[in-house]
Amino acid sequence: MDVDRTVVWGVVGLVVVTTLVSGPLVGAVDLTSDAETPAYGVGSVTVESASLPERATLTAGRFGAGEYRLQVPDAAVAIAAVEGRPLLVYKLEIDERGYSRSTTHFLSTENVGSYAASMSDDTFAPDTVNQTAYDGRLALVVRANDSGRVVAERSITVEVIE
Amino acid sequence: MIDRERATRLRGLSYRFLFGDRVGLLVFLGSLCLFLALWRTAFLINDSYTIANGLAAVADGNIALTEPAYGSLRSPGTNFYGGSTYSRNYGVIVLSLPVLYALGGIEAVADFPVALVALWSLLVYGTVLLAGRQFGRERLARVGGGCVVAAVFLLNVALVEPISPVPRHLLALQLVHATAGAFVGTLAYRLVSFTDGRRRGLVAAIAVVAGTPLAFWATVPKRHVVTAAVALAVALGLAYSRDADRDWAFEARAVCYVLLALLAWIHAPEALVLFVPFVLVDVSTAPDNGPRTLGVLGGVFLLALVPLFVTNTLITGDPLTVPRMLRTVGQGSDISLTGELSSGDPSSGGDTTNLPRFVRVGIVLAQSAVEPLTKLLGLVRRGIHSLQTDPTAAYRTLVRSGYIEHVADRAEGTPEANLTLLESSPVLATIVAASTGLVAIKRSIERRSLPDGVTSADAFLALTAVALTLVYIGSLPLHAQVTVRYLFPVAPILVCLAVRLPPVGRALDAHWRTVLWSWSAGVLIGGQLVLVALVALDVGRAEAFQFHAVLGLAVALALGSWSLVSVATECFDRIGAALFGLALASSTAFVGFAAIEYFGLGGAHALPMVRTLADAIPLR
Repeated sequence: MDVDRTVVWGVVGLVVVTTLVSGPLVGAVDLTSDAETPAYGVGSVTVESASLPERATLTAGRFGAGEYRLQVPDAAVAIAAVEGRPLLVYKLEIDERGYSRSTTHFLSTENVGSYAASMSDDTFAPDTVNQTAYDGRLALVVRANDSGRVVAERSITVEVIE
Repeated sequence: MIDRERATRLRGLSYRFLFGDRVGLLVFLGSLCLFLALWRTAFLINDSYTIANGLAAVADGNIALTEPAYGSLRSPGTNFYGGSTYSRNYGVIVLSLPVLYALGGIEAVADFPVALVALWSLLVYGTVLLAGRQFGRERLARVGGGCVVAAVFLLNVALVEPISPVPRHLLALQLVHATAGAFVGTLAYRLVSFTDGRRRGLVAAIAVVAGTPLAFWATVPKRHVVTAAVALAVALGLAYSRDADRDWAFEARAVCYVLLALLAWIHAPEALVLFVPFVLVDVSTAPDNGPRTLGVLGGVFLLALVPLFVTNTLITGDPLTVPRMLRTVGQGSDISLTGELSSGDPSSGGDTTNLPRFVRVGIVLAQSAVEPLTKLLGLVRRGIHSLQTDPTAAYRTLVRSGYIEHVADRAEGTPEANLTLLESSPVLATIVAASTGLVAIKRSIERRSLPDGVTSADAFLALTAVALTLVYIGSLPLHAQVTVRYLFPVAPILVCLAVRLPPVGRALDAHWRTVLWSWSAGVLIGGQLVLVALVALDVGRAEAFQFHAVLGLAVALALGSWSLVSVATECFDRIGAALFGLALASSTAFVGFAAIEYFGLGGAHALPMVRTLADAIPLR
């Protein structure tokens, strides 16, 4: 019986004490230390090589979903060195649709080595998809210190898959 | 000494009033644990900006909105009147004030994300201890539960990340709605156990919490869960008050009127949709309708409407410009029961100004009562018309969703995300077992009395479900509603009715263990299989939604077929119970995926371990 009681109060005590100790009143430990926000877009990156995919897909929805989903494979980037927090922008443009999309990656020294830059999916309404393929252009741009530098660029075919 | 006795008695009484018994409390706490585990501390719908801004304004002592604490002052549901901007649902805003102050207090002594984890951990431990006492496993609950809770708490603390800035007003609103949502399960338990025993009541509670999207909507500050809770509470009050020999029978009846009046303070049109069926059923089945009784009930009702009156007076500035519901701008397909609010000029009633003041009050009161009623009738008529002329729309709302081009066009590029009522709650398929009762209903209409075994609470719930559906069906389906949230209250209502149907109830009573097993297996094993399938098929969110939809419909089809057969034979009851559990699992899995993954709202999960889980799941 006494063991039980000790356990109950022990657990409640653990929860309450941890909360109070990490709170602003006691402040003995800071569990949510917010590392000071770094200056994004400042620094530099050395890219050894980058390879972009040659084909992206626009797939019709299954199971009764109507939207087409645009999926672009990752770009493989070999990063030799990073300084500061430069930005890596992976961008797709489809001129004939007047469409552009990009996903921004915040690089840090942890990303040195091979890095897979992804582009998040997008969806198109079905009545706007009326070709079997679209010509697009992919670009990988490094942005740092208020200037942009194109690291790699290529044309891409966006295939429509019904 | 006497005071202490009275306090104990009062505490016992309020405990029984709120939860009924220990199982009721257990359902309440268990639901709350689930809702808070799926809680995301961010805005899901931009309508919520309106209410959060309203709470921020009221907390500062203003009723009008001056500057947006969140989003903008043009979010849907914002009201314009006399040059000022107002929020809506003032009832929940006022109810959230104490929670807001409590959150402020917590923030003073604790780090907020850690405090949320601590709150949830203590809640879970409390639930476990209570369950241990209820099921005679106290030692296991204390020691085993304690170790698990401590471990989970530490795990969460290790993973905790800062929330900044803390959307305190939103959190207060979410907690209030989650509490209301937790009462939905408890009330389902109490309502069903009132007529069919506690075992069936518990199955009903599980079906309501796990078999409908309740857990998804509980932490969204929208009226839907509140409406559901009030509907079930009123049904319980009705059931309780029909037996005049009971203690508190009359008080229970009065409580129904109070609840509906208070619901009007939160959302007047929906309160009216509930009020009309309630009055019809209440007056026609009450043991006593003497003038004194009705007078007291009317008085209580008016008294409970005072907060609504006061709010309206504060907004329109004139006590005579009364209980009209606000004109809502940019409300989408929301219902409104007023036409144009004539440019805020209360003297537009022109020629009545010469009359004595009390007559004018009477006229305006009568007008404001009649106008919404005719509007409501119009909405119901429109619903019936839409059912007749466009049954496909109803089919697309209630049965099978999929992509609908003109609906998508109206939504202007919002990603599609919508499940029908049946797809999101396949357990509702059991209601087809009622079809054989139609003959009995026809006969009873001829006799002008309720059929055998149908209580006044059942009649109220059935009428309310029909009324709610008819009012909204004309403007549905919509493109991105997750589940048809306007019709959400219909789901728990129909569950409570379905489990009361004799063939369904018979199977649940005999095979409740099968229900629990198949539900658990469905969630724990089936949920993982669904995850594997979704990852392997590499689905987008819209496809994932439709995958859940097809799965839910398949289970609904099987369960519905069994329900039809169950009327004739009890041979397949065990299979039916297993299907019932699977239907619950289908909803639970969908709600879990939706809350954790599809609508993670940028990793805003209140529990760090759930956020980590969401990050680990390779779904886009």
